[in-house]
Amino acid sequence: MFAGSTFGLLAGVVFTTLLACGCLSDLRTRRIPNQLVLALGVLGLAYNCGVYDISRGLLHGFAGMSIGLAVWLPFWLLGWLGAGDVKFFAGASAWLGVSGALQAAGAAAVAGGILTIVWLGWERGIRVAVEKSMIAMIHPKVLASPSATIADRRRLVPYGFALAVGLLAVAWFPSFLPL
Amino acid sequence: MNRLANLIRSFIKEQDGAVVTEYGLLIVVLVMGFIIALAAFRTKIVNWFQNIGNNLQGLNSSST
Repeated sequence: MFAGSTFGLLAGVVFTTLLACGCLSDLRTRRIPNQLVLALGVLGLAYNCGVYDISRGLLHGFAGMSIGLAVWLPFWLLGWLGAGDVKFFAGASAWLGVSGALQAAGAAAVAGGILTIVWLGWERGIRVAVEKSMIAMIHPKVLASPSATIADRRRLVPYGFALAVGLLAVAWFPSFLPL
Repeated sequence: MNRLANLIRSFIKEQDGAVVTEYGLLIVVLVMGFIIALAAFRTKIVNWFQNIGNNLQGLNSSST
């Protein structure tokens, strides 16, 4: 997406830096600041206005943002995912547009699954992680009764990291998923 | 209405970026299902936004 022009490359560096900041913040404190999310969203809209004209750029950006929000918002409503993660993804989706946001959500979910299994192995031992993943493949319902709550921060997976991996993969290598 | 306002307020205020491990696995399954469903309607969604864009441009040109 960013390759091909100096403006694109510059935008890519800004996008990557902002996502890296979100990752670091999430890894260290399990929080993604609203200021960072706002910067991502506004700069994403500005980037699209630079690529297209203003009205098309805003539309492309807002469409991506709404799709990004639509994918993850239900998980916040269920209490599964932090609002910081949802806003982080929606803000970054302003750069990607509808199809980019969809691809990034797919890539991020897969990255999130891998991160979760690795985290489970790190937290509770490889045996538990493998057992839990195997059981989940046959009976996904067992996952609906987790052994930790969202208040138990020590056990929480820094999901923003997985979201950023998905977003960066799609932004730098577009259409690697057939969506 | 008040409940919706509270929900929106807490969504804006909350900055948590974490997920409980079990839910992390469950999310993969659900998101993939959601994406496949959305991808099926992709052209419809893109057309919908394109129509809005065309209408907006029409409004712009008719006002000038």
